[in-house]
Amino acid sequence: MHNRLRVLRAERGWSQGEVALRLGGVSRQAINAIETGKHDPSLDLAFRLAALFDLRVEEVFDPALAARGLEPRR
Amino acid sequence: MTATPFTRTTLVRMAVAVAAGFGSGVLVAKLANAVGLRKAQMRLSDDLALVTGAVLVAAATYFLVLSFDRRRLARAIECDPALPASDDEAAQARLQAGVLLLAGLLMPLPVLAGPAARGDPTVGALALGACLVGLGLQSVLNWRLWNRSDEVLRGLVVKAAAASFWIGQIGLYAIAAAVRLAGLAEPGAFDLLVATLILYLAASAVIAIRLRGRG
Repeated sequence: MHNRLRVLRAERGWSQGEVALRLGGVSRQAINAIETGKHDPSLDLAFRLAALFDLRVEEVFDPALAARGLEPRR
Repeated sequence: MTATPFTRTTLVRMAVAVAAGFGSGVLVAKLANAVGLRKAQMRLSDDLALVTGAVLVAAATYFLVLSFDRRRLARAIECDPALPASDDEAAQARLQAGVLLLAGLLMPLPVLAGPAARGDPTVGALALGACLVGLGLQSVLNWRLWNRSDEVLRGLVVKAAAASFWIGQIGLYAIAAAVRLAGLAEPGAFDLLVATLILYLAASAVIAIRLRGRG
């Protein structure tokens, strides 16, 4: 699933490990897998990730973009 | 043609794998000979249990060595290699090594202790006790590994279990039908155990490789 995780993380200067630590109960391997589209997060993790960045889920994840091969909204 | 760093690394890894495979084969053959195993008495599942055990012990050694090299471990678990693996990630790798090592020892133990156990019931009882204690310990480590894992690793385990159950059920039905209808020799519990483990290991490997290849 397409997501803006890497960009959002870079904007805040957080490492993958820092995101994992702030979330708790998730490894940086999982954050990497989500960023690179290798793993679609569970609903619970998707909401927790969105909440971490003070955004709504659809502002972080957009399954339609990957399906249409489009760039994310700016 | 010039070898790229990738092909060089791949060739070196292949050479190491071939050498390790040859070494393990020689070691397993010597071990089997030392405990009085005779080729004529061995079933296919015995051979596979010895080979699978050697592969699992080799994998356990790899994880254990990797857990002491934090940068390589970070690369291996697909994290940012600029940041070395944490204490928690190293502990997870050691736990994984423990699970693999015990599986690698438990798998061939009934085969290796078989000849001595047939001659002396006390040896048989001791070997069975060791198998059960090892199994209990491995179950505890597996449980701890599951509890420490996040949804990515748990997803991999669940997918591998589902795939191996599905394929195993198909295979088991075909064998059961052939036993009843075509006079195929009935497989033993050890034959089915070895088949189940190999199926699970193969399913895990395929799913892990597919996960790495995506993205």
